[in-house]
Amino acid sequence: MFQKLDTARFLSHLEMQQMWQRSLRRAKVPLAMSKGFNPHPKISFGSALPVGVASLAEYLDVELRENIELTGLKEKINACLPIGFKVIKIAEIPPKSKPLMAIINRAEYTIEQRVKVCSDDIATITDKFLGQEVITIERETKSGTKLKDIRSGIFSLKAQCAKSELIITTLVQTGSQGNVRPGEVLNTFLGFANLEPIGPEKITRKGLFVNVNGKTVTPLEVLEG
Amino acid sequence: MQNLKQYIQDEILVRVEKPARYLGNEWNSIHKSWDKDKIKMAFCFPDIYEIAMSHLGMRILYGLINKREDFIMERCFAPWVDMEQILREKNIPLFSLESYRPLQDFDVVGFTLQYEMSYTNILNMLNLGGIALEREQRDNDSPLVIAGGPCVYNPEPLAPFVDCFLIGDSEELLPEFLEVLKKHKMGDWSKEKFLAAIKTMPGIYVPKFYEFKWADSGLLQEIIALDDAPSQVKKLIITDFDKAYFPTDPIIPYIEAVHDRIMLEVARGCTRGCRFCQAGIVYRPVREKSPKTLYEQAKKSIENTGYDEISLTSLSTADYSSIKPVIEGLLEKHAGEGIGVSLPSLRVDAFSVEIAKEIQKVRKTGLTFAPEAGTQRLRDVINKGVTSADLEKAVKGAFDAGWTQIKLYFMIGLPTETFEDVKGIADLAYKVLEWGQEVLKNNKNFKRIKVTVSTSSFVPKAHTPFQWEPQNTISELEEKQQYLKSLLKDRRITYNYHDAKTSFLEAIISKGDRRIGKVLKRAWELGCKFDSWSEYFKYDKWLQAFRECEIDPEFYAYRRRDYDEIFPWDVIDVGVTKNYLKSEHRKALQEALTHDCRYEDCPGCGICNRFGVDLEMFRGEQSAY
Repeated sequence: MFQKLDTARFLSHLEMQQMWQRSLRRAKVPLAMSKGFNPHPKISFGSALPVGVASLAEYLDVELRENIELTGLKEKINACLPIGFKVIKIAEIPPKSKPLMAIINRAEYTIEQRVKVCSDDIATITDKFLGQEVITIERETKSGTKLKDIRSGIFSLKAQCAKSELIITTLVQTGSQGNVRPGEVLNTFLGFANLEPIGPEKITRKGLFVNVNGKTVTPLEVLEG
Repeated sequence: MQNLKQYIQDEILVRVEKPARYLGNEWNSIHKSWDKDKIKMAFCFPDIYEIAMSHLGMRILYGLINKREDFIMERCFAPWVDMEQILREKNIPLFSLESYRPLQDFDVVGFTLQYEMSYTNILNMLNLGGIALEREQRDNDSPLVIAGGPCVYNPEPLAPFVDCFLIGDSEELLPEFLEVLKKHKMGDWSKEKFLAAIKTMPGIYVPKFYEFKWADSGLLQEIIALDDAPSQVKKLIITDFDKAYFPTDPIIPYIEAVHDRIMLEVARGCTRGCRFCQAGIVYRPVREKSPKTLYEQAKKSIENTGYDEISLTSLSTADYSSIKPVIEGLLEKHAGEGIGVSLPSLRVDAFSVEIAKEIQKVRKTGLTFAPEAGTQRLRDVINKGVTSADLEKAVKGAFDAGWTQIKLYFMIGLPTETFEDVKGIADLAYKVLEWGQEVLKNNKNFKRIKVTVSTSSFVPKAHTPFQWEPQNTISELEEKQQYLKSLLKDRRITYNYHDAKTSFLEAIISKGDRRIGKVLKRAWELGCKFDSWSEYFKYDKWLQAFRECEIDPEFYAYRRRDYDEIFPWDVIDVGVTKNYLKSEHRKALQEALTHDCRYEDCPGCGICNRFGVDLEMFRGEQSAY
């Protein structure tokens, strides 16, 4: 598990993948390589983070070509990471574990947005917002703009607004079963609440989770059983 | 500049494409405190991050200069158009990546001149950085604007804008230059006195001390050196290349650069003597690094970068005396860690394919050969010592070793070229197909055979035997491109070619003079920038700039020069004599070859005896021949 804060939030998923390969090599982590014409290290990531979004809890799986000592590894890797990246926890996973992408299906975000004037009763507006049967957004795809309902992908949402600062905390769906983007939640909420944004928003992913049988746990907790 | 940095990161970076271009805190980037008595230089590359970060020269100078406690070097690149628009809207000056300081806060703003089509970006960056374009408009406290790099051997088109040019190997020149600057900055700073003092330093060209007189015909009549400036500026070269500084901890770009790997320079200079090639002349003599040095530099680079590929770079890496043992040595040491070795280009011969086979044990890529011309006659004209038999051996060897895609590079518009020579390119492409079919007759890869033909248009360059030659006109080039296209109809052959209009401008600027500076400025005012990006190249604006400046572009590109004509770049002494270039030009027209002095007698180009140098080579047990 690692953090992606500060300027690191501006790296795209692809740029971050490259960064990890090189940093792990600098830390002398013995990466297992794929076979074939163009061998590459076997590293897999949790759900991709949009450019500009920070995160307190990202995950990556690294396959090694030999067993190594875990004690001190975190410090060794952290000494080789660019500003903004930091490993928080390392755990060993069984060789045949499912890839992260396949199991992670929940993401929690806080969204900070300056607005012109706060609404008086943000709690009521939030209730009404969540009371909607359908929340439609427009999404650009390769085949053009498509309409999509994201209501069923929003599991919880809290909003506060004070001194022109709107803060939303929301738990949404992510992963292969469907993906709700934090920017989409913000934009529909601003529209619904009739709030006028000033300047760019600041989004932080607080966590990635796995929902199994109605229980939301972290990927590391899944590992611990 | 904390405030500017915070503001840009909070408010602006979310609005631009690829914001990681502007962060400046990559791994191995160097952030120094801005003390008053340090000399601060911005290294400017007039193109975007991904291209700039591929540049070996910057890696060398950034490491070398920052090693010195009393010097600071930071990077500054051309912002992409979206960023530029925001900077202009919000009135934010162009800033360096490390400390986010405006260009105008530096003592020295230095540009690397990699290609002529980046010159409008230089003007744009100066303007964005709050620095007046013309050197005469800048006051005593404005930064010194300097330039170096391969295009500096004809500095004149940029003479109105640049205070001084560094001619030669900058790892020797730049520290000396900054040293003198430091002494001057410690006293009462006078830019005028400083420029006067350095005008006699080896390798330094200060354009304000040179007056160019033109006849009514437009021809250059005389170059007058003023105030005891040397009549010719000799380039400065490092002689003990093996011991020269080389960076083993380059900055690791956040965004994939065009060349995103360890670049290990095995040699500088080339003795092949291809007559169209400017680098082959201006980087003489050949200086090689010892295998021992290369192994040490490779090991450190791998540890410090985390890269998984080492590119052995030079103008012609297969010519490096110990190339085979060095590749074997590197693979033996590092292949186990998943590190591959690559070469930027291959010679057209069986030996190169041998080497390629060695390398591809780790990683497979395409194979590219550059015969440059389609017929033996024309290859003799350009002194490309390659025969059809060489190509046959190389190509068959490649197919035999498992490659199925061969790329071939050619130039069109070379001196004396006829349509027969152009047809020769197509004939060669078909021959390569045939050879592939022959080798892979009963092979499952038979259907995968592919040949890509790429042509660039010949640009006659300063300091080459072809500097007297006119360029083909745009319509001639386009006609040849279309003719070749009509001949390459097989679906297994792909044909790519360059825009002839860009080549036309390149020819004008690369053989241009001070008067072209006016055109550059006008073109920039009319909105020209990123000229090497086809989507931003505005040919009509360039033509308008020429018209408004009353300068005939064809005078520069299409005119055959006389042997006794004085060239603007004659003010620079690259070591190779003009007489030698003349004799090479004559030999070209006679289709006569000049052999490589590495293997045969000295043809007398002049560099070794005139500069008191010699070829520096380390022959391994398995030399190329």
